[in-house]
Amino acid sequence: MIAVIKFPGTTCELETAMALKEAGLRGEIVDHADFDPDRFESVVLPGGFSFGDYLRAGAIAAGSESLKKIKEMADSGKKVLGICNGFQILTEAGLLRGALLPNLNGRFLTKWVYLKVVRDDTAITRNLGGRVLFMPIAHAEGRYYGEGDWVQRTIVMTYSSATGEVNEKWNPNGSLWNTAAVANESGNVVGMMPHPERASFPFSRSTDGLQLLRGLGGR
Amino acid sequence: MNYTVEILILPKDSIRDPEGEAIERHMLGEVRGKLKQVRVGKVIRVILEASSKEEAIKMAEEFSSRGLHNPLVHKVELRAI
Repeated sequence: MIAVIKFPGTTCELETAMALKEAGLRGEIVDHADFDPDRFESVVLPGGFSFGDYLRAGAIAAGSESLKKIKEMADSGKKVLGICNGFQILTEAGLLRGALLPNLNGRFLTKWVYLKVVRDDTAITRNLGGRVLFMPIAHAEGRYYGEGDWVQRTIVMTYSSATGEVNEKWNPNGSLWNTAAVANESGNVVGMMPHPERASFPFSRSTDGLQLLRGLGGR
Repeated sequence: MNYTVEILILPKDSIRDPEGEAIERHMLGEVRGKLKQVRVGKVIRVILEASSKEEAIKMAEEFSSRGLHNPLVHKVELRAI
C-alpha cells in the first residue's frame, strides 16, 4: 500500500491516488496527522499548496511530525516520491538537496513539457534511461538551485525538446541545468516538479506518468 | 525581559530575485537612473524572553536557521529593538 499524504492545502491527492490505481497500484489518502508509517511500503507527497505556501512553499509541512516519519522510512530504504509541492517539501525537509526558488519569469507556469530521463537508478526511472516523457507542470516556485559537485549527480530528469535536446530554450523556469527532478544518492527518494498523475488516464494528453508511477510498486 | 527581534530574510547576493527585478523594471520609474538594485525579502518580528539583547538575537538566529530561512539561498540580518 502506498500512502498519499494530505496536508491542509494539498490539492492533488485524489488524482494521485487514482493515477496509482491506473498504474496497477494501491494508494490510500492519509491525513498527515494520522499517518502510520508501518502500514505503508512507500509514500507520495502530492502537489498543491500545503499550509497555504506560507513562509515558503513546503516549509511548514517540512517541519511537521509526518516528515520525521517519512525520513525514517526513506532511511530504511522505502520509496518516497514528492510531486510539485511534495518536491518542495522534500527539499525543505532536507530529504533532498537543493532548493526550489520562484520561477525566473515571475509567473505561475502551467504547460505541458518534455522531460529527458538522465538517471535510471532511481525508484521511478528504472529502465527509462534516455527516454523522453511528456507531462504538465503547474508551479510558481520550481527553479531548482544547488551549489557544489553533487548537483549533477542528483539530477534525474531535465526539461528538454521532444527529441531530447537539453538547452536553455527548453528551460521553463530557470532551473539550474534544466533540472526537473532529482533524487538522493540511493535513488529511493525522488522529487519532481512535473505532474505524472496528470498524464496517467485514457483522457490525458499522454499516459507517460504511469511509466514513472509504476516504479513505486514492489520493494 | 522581553525583546523584540526582527529577522530580515533576503535572497543571497548570488541568487536572482525575479520579484525585485520586476519592481525595478516596472515600478519606481521616478527614480530610474538613480535606482541601482531592488531586492525583496521577508521580515519576521518575534518577541522573545531573554536575559540580554545579545542573547535574544542569538536565540532568533538559531531558530531561524532551523527553517525560517534556508541557508542555501538566503542571508539574514537580525536586529533587536
